[in-house]
Amino acid sequence: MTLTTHHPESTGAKPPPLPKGTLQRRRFVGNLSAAAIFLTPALALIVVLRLIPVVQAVNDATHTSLPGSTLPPRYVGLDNFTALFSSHAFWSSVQQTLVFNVIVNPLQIALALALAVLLTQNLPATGIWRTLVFLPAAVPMTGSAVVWGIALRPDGPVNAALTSVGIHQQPFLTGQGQVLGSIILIASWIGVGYWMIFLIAGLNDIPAVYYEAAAIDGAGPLRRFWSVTLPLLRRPLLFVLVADTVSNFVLFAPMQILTDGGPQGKSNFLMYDIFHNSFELSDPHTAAAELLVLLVLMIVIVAVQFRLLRSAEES
Amino acid sequence: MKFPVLTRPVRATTSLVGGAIAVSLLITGCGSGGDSSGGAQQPAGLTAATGLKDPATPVTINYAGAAYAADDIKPVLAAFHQEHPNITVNYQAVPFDQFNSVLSTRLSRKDATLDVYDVDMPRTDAYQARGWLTDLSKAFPDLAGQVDKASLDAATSDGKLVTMPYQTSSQLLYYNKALLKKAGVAFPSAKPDDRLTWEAVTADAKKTQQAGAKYGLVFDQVNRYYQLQPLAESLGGGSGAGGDKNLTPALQTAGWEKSMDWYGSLFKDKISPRGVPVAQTPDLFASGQVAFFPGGPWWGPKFAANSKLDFGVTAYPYFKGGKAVTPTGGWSLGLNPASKKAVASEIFMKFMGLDKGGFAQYMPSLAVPPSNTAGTASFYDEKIFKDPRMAGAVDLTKYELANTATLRARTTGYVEFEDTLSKTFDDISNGASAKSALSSATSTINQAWAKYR
Repeated sequence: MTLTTHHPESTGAKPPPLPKGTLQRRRFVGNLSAAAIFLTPALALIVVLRLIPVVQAVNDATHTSLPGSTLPPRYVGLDNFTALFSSHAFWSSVQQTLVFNVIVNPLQIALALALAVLLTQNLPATGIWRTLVFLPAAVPMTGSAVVWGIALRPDGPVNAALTSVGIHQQPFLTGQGQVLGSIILIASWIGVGYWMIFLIAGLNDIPAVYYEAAAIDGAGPLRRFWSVTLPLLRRPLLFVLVADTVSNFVLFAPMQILTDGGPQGKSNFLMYDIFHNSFELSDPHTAAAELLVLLVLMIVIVAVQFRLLRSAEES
Repeated sequence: MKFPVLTRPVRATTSLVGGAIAVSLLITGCGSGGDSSGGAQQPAGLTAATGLKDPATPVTINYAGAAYAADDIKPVLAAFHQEHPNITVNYQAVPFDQFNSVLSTRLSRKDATLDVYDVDMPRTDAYQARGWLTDLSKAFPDLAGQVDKASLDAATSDGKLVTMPYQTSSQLLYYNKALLKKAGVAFPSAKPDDRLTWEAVTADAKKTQQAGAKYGLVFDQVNRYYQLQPLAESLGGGSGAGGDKNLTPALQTAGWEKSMDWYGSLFKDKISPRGVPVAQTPDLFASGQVAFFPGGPWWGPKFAANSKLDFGVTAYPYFKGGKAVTPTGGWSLGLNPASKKAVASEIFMKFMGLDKGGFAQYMPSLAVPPSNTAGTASFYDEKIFKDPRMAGAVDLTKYELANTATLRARTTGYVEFEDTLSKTFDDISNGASAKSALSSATSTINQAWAKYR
């Protein structure tokens, strides 16, 4: 213990000859500058990567110009939003995005949890199973998308397998009723193994004594899962929920590579539509307006999830 | 329009990079440039082609191209470097599917590191309206007579010459002789007068499938306006755009609906496969799975490379009772108004389009006609046309370019038009009714064009 690490009063030593306030202030300033030095890189990155883009997006969303024009854009207030909100295609894109997320997030988390529980049960060769399940997450998403695109082609291997067991050929990515399911399949094939790893870490953190106590009290496996595993896994589960939701809201590669938002707009999720407007149609202003809508949508949903996180901590 | 670049599935690998760039750019704001200096249309130093002088010190110009893969254009650039040792052309090959996005990000931000770039001919008006092109009227005042008329038209916007046309195009119908023979279908002749109707091709295609062909008829560009516009035009459906400045969609016509009904039926009846992307269709014909393949002459070298593939060519079909219409148009070179190397760029454009017949003479396996009329003569002497399987292709191409070639719709809203139509063709092939798909395309295009009117 040294003087310098403790407040003078708390050590019980005599106050130093310097006026009391000066030393305190000097330490305070010293701490503050140390904090500033450590925080600056993070703050700078937040400003450069998060705040400036949002300000820029707001600026873009309130201006307009002919697509791709080199002339300076004109200020139009909320006109871009009015145009968006009166567009049928935009609402259908919002609707498809929400439907996709309502299905894909719970599904992925349920599967990831089931796999995580299964693979922490001391099965033989658990390491190999875990690796195999995780592997798709290590393949670049574009690669996975292309391979799935070929697999799900109407004349592709999946249909060949289906036909061989007497099931009719399915349209998959080319059918407006199946494209959503197909994208969910592709996204989950990649996502499930990734989120599983976080849940395995969470499961391993649960002390074994709880399970032993529950077992002594006569709790069966299901009861132990509901009353021990789930409550103690809440924090990692909620992290996975938030992170998975965000990543699925900005999912984009499978649509860009496989469906171009089709058929009939059924996979035209917001993130893809933003890319499409901004880069393929050279209209960054509509894209920025859409981006802000997506941002608000995500903030609302993530805020609700954080609420859940807080109530989970309180309980 | 897509040309021979996509012989490999480039899209898969490049879209990783493209996607990453796109997303990172989105995250840093979908911003337009903050430059407010206005649309300066002239880069400094532009001079009349007759007075061009090579730079005294080395200059490097950047050329973004989508018409040719980097390897294919190498001999052309080598010849240029030999003739103009002080100018280096840095060729940046961009996959066609990403070309518009790349140009959009670079040109709308007045990126001076891009000097020359490929312009897909029907996009000329749209690019001119955006301020991406330089007025070349004074630089190349005597282009008429040196390039074919359709190319010159396509390079002109508002009466100004804004690009240097270098390549045009035409289409053929390839057929697999082995599959036709097996089905007892007579080989069609390559004479324009013996042009098949789509109805006849459909019937023959079905016969070949009954005799074992996997697919009867597969279009090269399954969802592109370039190859499908002639279907509607053949039935008098028009280009799809009309009204003042071609800014009113005209897709709900009998010609469009009837031809698109037929197009949708190809997929419904399993004559064509659903879900095969554009880049993979030529492989289906090259591997002998397809009886009839309407496609560009640029696939000739690829098909001919397979010595076991016995094929022939005939004219691009038409609908019974309709007229013969073939796609055309190709690529020009645009000069970025923000370029700081106008003279070197001009020298390169002149070399590509005009000097001694233009670029075509340096391309050992060119299968697409150049815009330059002098270059066209040597083009027809290419090795690929000596292959017996391509017999008749030369006369056919000459005939089509002179008689049936029809340019795509000219409109400042072309980018949105083509984009919407691609999705519409996809929807039709995936089972949407032609009528509803064309009606929904009309409303989408109408909405997108409101800003141009």
